[in-house]
Amino acid sequence: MKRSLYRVLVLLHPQRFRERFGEEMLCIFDESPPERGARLLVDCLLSLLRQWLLRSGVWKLAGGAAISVLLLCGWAYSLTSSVNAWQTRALETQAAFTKHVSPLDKVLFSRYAAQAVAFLAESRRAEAEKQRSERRRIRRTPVDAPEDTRTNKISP
Amino acid sequence: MKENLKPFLPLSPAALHILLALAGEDRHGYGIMQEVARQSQGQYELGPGTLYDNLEKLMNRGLVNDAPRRAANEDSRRHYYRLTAFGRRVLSADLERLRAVLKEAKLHLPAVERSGLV
Repeated sequence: MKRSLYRVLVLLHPQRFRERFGEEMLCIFDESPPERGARLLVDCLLSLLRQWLLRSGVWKLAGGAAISVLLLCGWAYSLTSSVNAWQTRALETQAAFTKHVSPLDKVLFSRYAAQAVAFLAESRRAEAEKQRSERRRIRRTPVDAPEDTRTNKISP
Repeated sequence: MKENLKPFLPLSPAALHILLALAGEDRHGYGIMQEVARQSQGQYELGPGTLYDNLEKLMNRGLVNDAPRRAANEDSRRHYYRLTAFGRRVLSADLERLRAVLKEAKLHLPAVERSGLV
């Protein structure tokens, strides 16, 4: 049982190490006294970790992947922060606009509204005046005008 | 021209014990483990994983290389290892460094010296 486990651990080593030293490690396990079996298993497990993590270069891949993930997270965080900052700036601007500009706007609006109302009133007054003068002219024409004027004939 | 051995020093405890075990003769993996346990009086025990991880590094650095098998009837899975001349020089340089450390220890720790630890 222990030997099978030891063999599996040896087989799990990187190919370079396994091909070079795998058989020798099994040979040592076979030659060692049985009471050392557990110790050899622990040693083989540590060797497995050492070979994969430190000697095989996998740590470079793992490190590269970790750095990439960190960069992506940083980029996403900065993006979120900039959007938040933009929103915050927009809200602040809006608040400032509401606080400082809006009263001015109200004044302007009131002024423009008053001018519009005055213009409308002036237009209506002018229109009414025009209509009144027209009615007056029509009313005056049949009474005051001479006969030939009404018939559009010029008297000799 | 003097050889620059500084990049190889100091040796790790495991590397030092392995080179010391191979200093006397060529040995296979299990033989190295037994010799290391004998040299350290059982205080330092190498497992196969640690042994071969260090052996690979030492071989890549040219301190140890493969040696021919001794007997034909031996287990074919066994490989022998040999200390190279360069490895022997590195080992000597590290032992010299340790000798200097020991000398300092004797100067500053007389009580330890009297107790026979160094």
